[in-house]
Amino acid sequence: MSVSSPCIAVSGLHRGENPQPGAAIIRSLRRRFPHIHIVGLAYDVMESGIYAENGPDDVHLMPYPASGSHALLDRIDAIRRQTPFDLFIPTLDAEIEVFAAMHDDFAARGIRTWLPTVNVLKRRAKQHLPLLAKFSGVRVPPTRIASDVAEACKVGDELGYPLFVKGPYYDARAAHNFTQLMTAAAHLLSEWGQPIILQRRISGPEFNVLGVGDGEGGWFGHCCIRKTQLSDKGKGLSGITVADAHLSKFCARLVHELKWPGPFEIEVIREESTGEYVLIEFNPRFPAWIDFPSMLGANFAALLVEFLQTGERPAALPDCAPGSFYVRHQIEVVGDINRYADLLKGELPGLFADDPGADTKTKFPA
Amino acid sequence: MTTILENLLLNDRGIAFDPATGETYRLIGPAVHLVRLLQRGANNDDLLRYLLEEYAVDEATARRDLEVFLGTLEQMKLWEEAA
Repeated sequence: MSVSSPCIAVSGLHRGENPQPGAAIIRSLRRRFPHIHIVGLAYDVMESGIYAENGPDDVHLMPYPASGSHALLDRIDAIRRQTPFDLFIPTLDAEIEVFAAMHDDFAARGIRTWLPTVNVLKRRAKQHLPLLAKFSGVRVPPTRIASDVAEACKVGDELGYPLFVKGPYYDARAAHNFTQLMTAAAHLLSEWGQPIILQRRISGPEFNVLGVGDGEGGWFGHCCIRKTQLSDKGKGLSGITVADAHLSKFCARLVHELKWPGPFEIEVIREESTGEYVLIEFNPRFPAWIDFPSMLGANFAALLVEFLQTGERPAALPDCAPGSFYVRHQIEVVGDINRYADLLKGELPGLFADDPGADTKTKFPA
Repeated sequence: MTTILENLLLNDRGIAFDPATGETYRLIGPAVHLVRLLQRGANNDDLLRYLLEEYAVDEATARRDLEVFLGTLEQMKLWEEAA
């Protein structure tokens, strides 16, 4: 490929029980561009991908997205003075919400990224899915929002049980009765704030579809899987590629309606009683299983980099033939306490700035 | 006959995979060949003939077994007998 060696920043490096996509994106990129320079942007020194073999070449800590765009930009500027990355692949829902409003800031700095506008991002938010579904001609479960526990209980009675209670970005809890709903609603409100989303539970097998939208209503490629094993949090521990024209068309309608630019993951359930697909979520990023299709010859992360680098429409990725499966495999990675200390000290200036003994306090004998 | 049986990917070790739904099935004994015959458009008489030729079984037993097998396929919504 003709892409010269760019320096790429990737966030969301933690794997483990509920893996983030960043480490898998790095693996995909290294498959295609073994010598590419990757800058890991981490929110915590214990993000496991920092220490993974063939992981990021440099790692820098970021302030949490809730700190706001000014704090994030200041930090990005400081990082780029040390490691001047030119492409950026954010992977976490909460940060994408902030970054989507920073197109001009990124452009002014020469940072290329492929993100939706704030309005487009908002249209696929959990609380707005019914309207998006209406315009796209797809089904969603009966969905309502609530801003406090009392309202959630009232809405729960109207929707009926069982249902799912979801935070605006993360976390979903099943509620089979009033008591479980109260507990779930209180937890999610305290953890993530309002609104919480209540969705009637749909029974049936779960499907996930990832792809990269072209921003004009089409896509550069997509890959469909059925989740075959779920964790107790509902995360796919294994999945198998499928090819169903109905499922592809279902997702194409959503991407077309949104004119979605960039990576996405669509979560769908095929309702057992009717055989119809029902939209559960539209995620504005690559999923944690992004490296699976790249092992099948459809490298979505590399495609995104190629597009960002050249600005030209890339060749469509090949379809993933049905019948290949992945199983999530967890391993231990080794960290070094000196690196841990360096990350804290070097990446968050000010943390030890007033402490003359910082070096001796944070360095451990090798 | 309307069926999704025709689309099943079937290997010799008796694993059938539905490429559209991701469902997998394990077939044992004569089921593998019976499904292959159905995929080629065989009718009930063809299936019965196969069982009688390949297995030491009397016709009444073969008919009963075949009925159970086809009933199972129907129950799993893999196959529907023509009206």
